[in-house]
Amino acid sequence: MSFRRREKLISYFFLLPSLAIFLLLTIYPMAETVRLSFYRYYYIARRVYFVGFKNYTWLMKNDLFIAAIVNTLKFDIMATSLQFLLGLALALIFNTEFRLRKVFLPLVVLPMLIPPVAVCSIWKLMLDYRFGVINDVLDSVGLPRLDWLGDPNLAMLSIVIVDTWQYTPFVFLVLLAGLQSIPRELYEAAMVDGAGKVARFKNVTLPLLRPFIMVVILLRVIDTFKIFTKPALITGGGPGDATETLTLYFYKEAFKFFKLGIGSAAAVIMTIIVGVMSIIYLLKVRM
Amino acid sequence: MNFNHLSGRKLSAALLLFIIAGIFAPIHQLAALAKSPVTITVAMAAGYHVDALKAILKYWEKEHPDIKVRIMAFGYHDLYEKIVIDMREGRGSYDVIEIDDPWMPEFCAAGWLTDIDELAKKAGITINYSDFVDTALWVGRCPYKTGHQYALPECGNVELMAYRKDLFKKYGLPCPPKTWSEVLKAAEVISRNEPGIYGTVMRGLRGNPIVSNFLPVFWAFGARIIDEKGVPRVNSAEAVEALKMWLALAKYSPPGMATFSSDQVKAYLYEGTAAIATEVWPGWIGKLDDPKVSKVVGKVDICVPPGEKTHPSPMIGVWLFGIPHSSRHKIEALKFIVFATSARMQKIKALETGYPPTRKSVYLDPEVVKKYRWYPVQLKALMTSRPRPRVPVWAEIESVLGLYLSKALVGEMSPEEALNAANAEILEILKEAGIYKGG
Repeated sequence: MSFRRREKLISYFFLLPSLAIFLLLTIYPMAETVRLSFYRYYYIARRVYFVGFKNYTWLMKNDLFIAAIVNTLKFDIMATSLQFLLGLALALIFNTEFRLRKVFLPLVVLPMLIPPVAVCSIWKLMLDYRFGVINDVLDSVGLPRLDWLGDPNLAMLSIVIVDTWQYTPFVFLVLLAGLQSIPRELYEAAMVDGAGKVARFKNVTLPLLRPFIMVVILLRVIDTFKIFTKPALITGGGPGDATETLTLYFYKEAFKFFKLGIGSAAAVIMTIIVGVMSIIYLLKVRM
Repeated sequence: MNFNHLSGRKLSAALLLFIIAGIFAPIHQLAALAKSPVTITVAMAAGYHVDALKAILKYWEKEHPDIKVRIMAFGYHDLYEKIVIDMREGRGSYDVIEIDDPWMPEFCAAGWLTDIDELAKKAGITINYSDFVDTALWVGRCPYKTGHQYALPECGNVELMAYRKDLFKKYGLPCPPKTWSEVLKAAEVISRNEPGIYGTVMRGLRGNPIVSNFLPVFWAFGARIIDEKGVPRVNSAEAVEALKMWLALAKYSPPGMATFSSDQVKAYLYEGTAAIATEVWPGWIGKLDDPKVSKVVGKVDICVPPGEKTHPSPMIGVWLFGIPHSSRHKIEALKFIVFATSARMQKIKALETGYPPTRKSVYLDPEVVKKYRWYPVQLKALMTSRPRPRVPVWAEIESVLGLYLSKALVGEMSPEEALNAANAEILEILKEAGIYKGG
C-alpha cells in the first residue's frame, strides 16, 4: 500500500468514532423522529398506525399550535432585539475604564449563572400583583400596579423581561470581547482625522464588531426559539394561550400525553422553521 | 534530551492501566451488590410526600433490617414520565411507585400494575381493608370500584374549602355555607364591608390548577364531563350555569388570579387578606393555627365544598402505592406498602408532617384530631368525594378544559363559547381513544 493511501485510511479510521457517535446520537434520532411523525403512536396504549401527512395537517389546523408558532416568533423577535440593544449598551459602557468596573462586571454576569428554574421562581414572586417587588416599586413612584402575569397582553412581555434579565449578560460578554479586539490605533487614527464619537462608532466600531454581532444574534434567535422553562413555570402557557410556545406544546404532546406521532410532527415543523430562519440569515449575512 | 519518547511510553502505559481499571471496577461493584441485602427502590413525588416517608423509615429499618429502601424523588411530571417509560419498557428499575389517582385508569388498561390481592395471597400476607376509606380504595382498583386491588391509597388528599369563620359570624352569614350561592353572597358582603380583604382567592393558573378549582362547582350544578356512552357533556346547560357561577366567584379574587397556583392561595389565606379559599388541599392548611406563619390563628374553619343543584362533590386526589409488574422484588415491595399504609405509620406521618391519612381510625384518633381540628370534616369530605372521570385520556381532557377555562376567565371567550370549544376538542379526544360510543 502506498504511503498516501495508508495516510488516508488512517485518517478515516480516526474519524470513525466521531462519525459513529454522530450517526447514532444525531442522525438516527432525527430520522426516527421524522419517521414517527407519519404515524399515530400512542406509546402507553401501544397503538401505532400509519397516517401519512395527517399529523401535519392536524397540527396546522390546531388553534393552539398556530398560537404557539405566533407566540414563539413574537417572543423570539422581542427578546433578541431587547437583549441585543441592552447587551450592546452594556458592552460599550464596560469597554471603558471606570471606578468599580471590576466590582460591577461579575454582578452583570450573575443572572446568567443562576439555574433557570430558580430564575423562574424568583421572578414569579417579583412579578406578583400584590406581593411582587416590581409593583411595589411602581407604587412608590405613583404609577399604577400592573397585572404582569394575569393580563394576556402583559404576560408575554413579562416572559421577555425575565429572559432578557437572564441572557443579556451573554450578549454583553460576546460583544465586549468583540469591542476589546478592536485595536486602539484605529480609533486614534480616526480621531486624528477629525471623526467625532458618533462617526467613530459608525465607521470603526460597527464594521469591526459586525462578525460578533452576527454570531450573537444568530445564537440568541435560535436559543429564544426554544423557550420552554419560563412559560412552563411562570405562566403555564397562559393566561389563555398568551404564552404558549412551540417547545411547551410539543413537550406536552410527547411527554405528558405520550402521543409520540403528533409530538414528532410538531418537532419536525419546529426544526423546519428554525432551519429556514437560520439558512436565510446565514445566506443574507454571507458568513 | 529525548524527553518525549520515554514519558510518552509511560503516559500510554498509565492510560492503559486506567482504562483496564475502569472496565473492571463496575464488575467488582456488581459482585458486591449480589451479596448485599435486598434493596427496593421507591419512586415518589418530591416534597412533603418524601418528608412523610422519611419520618417512618426508622421504624421500617428496625422491623425489616433485611430490606433496604431507596427513595427516588421526582417532580410531578418527571415522576409520571419516568414510571411510564420504566413500566412500558419492562425495566424493573422501581419496585414501588407513587401513583396520582388520575393515572390509575391508564396504568390499569396497560396492565402494568401487580394484583395486590393475588400477591398477598401468594405471600401469605393478609390486608385488612375495612379501616381504609372506601372511596380511596376504589380508585386503586382495576376496574374502578369493582375490580381487584392494584394499589393501596397512602395520601388521603381531598378538596376542601377554607373560610374566615370570624367574618362569617360578624355578618351573620350561614356558617358553614351550604351552597355556592351562599358562598357568592358571603364574598360580596365581606368584600364590600371589609376594605383590604378579598372575598375569594382561587387558583386560575391554566392547566390542572384551574380545572381542580372549577370541578367542585361544575359537579355541584349537576354537570358531568362524560356520560355513560362516552359522550362529552362539558357544554351542557348545567355546565354553563356552573361556569357563570365560578366566574362570578372569581370576580372577588385578587388581581393576577389568572396565574394563581397554590403558593398564592396560601399566601392570601394565611395573611388574612382573603375571606374564602374555595379550594384548599390538606397539605396547604396544616399550619393555619401556627402563629409563626399564620396571621389568622383560630379564625379559619374548614368545610366540605358546598353543593348547589345537587349534593356536594369534593374532588378526590389521593396518591397510591403500586407495584410495577416488572419489579423484581414484588414481595418485599408488598411488605413495604402494607407497612407504610398501616394505621400506626399513618398516625405518625399525620402527627409529624401533617400527611393526610387514608384510614378512618387515624382521622378519628383523639391525638390526631387535637392537632388538626378539621380532620373529622376532612374524613367526611373524603368519604363523600368524587373522582375525576376514569378514562386513560384524562390528562388531555384536563389540558383542553384548562385552556378554555383560562380563556373564559380573562374574557377572551364567553362561557358558552369556551365550553363549546372545549367540548368539541374533548369529543375528538374521546373518539380517537375509542371511548366515544355515540349518542
